Amino acid sequence: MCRHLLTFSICVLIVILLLFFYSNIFNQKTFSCESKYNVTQYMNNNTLLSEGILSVELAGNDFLINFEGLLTSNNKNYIISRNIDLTLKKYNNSNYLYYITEMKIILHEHDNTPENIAQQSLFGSLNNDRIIYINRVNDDTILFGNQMLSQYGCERK
Amino acid sequence: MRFDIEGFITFDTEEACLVNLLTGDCIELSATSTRLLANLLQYRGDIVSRIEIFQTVFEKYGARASNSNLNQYISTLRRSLSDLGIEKDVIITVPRIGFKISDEVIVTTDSDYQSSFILPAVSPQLTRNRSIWQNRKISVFVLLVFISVSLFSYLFFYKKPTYEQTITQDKCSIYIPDSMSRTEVLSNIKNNDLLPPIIDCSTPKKIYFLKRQINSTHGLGVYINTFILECSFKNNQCHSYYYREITNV
Repeated sequence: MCRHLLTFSICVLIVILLLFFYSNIFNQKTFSCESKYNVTQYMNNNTLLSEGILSVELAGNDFLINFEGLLTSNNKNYIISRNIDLTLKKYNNSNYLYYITEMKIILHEHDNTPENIAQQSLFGSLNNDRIIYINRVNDDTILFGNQMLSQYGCERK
Repeated sequence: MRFDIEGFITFDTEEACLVNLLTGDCIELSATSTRLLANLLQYRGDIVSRIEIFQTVFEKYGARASNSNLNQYISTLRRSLSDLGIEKDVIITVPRIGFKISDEVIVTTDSDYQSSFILPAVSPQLTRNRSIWQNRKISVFVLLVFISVSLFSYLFFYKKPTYEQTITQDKCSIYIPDSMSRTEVLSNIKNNDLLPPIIDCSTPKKIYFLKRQINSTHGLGVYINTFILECSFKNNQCHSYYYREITNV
C-alpha cells in the first residue's frame, strides 16, 4: 500500500513538473507587443529615413510584424503599411538566429514603397539571406533585425 | 513488553499503541484492548479460553466481563490490525472455547531476540531502523529525481541573457551586451553620442543599447551600427532607434 502511494506521489510530482515547464514554454512562445520606431541609414550616397509604429505577434514558429509609417529615401517620400508574416525554423541551434522558411508580405492599400527600398529596412520581399535575428531579452521584451543585430524592439504592454 | 507482528507492526504494551513501521501510522488502544492483545500474543500458539480472558483482562482490573463485551474488543482489535495493513486474520475465534493468534502470523518479542544466539543482531529496534532507513532511501531517491528533473529542465530551457550588464544613469537602467565595455557606453552617454542624442533620464526608463563601430585605421570609410530601445515606465511605451552609416566613397 505504502509502495503504491509512493509511486503515485512520484508520478504526480513528475506530471506537475512537466505541466509547469510546458506552460512556461508555451507562455514564452506566445508574445505580442507594440512600439514606435525610427530608422536612419546612410549608405554611401543613399539616405533612408523611416518612422512609424510596429507591432509584433510571435507564436511558436510564426512571426508576424506589422509596420505602419512614413519613409523617405533620397528625397522621395513613401508610405509604408504592410504585414510581414514569417515562418521560422531555428538556425543551427542558435539561440537568436532563425531561418525564414516562408515569407508572406501583405501590402495595405496605401503602401507605395518600392520593394528595393523597403528591403533596406527589413520590410522587403527581396530577401536573399533569409536569416532573421530574434532575441527575447526577457519575458516582456523582444529585439529583432536582419543583420544579426537588433534593428527594432518592443515591449509587451 | 514489545511485540512485532508480521515484521512491520509493532505493539508496545506500555505505550498502548499499534504502529506501522513502514508508514508511521499509529492506532492507540484502550487499556482493556491492550491487555487483551498482550494476553493473546503472550500465549500465541495456544488457545486462550474466554474464562481465562474474563479473569486476567477484565475482572482483575475491575472491568465488566461479558461475551458481548469481549467480542466487541476482539472486533476492534481485528479492525485496527487490518487498518494498519495486515491482510491475514491475526486473531482466530475458536468456537465455544475462546481465541488464539493465528499460526500463519509471525510474532516476535524482545525476549525472543534476547534468548537467541543465532540472530543476536536482528532486534526489533534494528527492524524498525531498517524500515526507517528504507524510507530514507526512498525519500533520497525521490529528492534526487526531483533535483535531476529540475536541473535538466533548467539546463535545457535556460538561455543565457545577451544583455547582461546594467548601467544606471539617473533614473535610467541601461542594458548592454557583454561584448560592449561599460566605459565605452558611458563615454557615448557623456559625449551625447547616442540615438536619440538626448535621452531623458528624469523619469524611470529601461534602455537596451548596442553599438558596433569599425574605426578604420587606413581611411577606408565609416561603419556604424547603433540600436537603442527606450522603454518608459511612466507611459509604458517603447521607442526603438536604429542608426546605420556605411560610407566608403
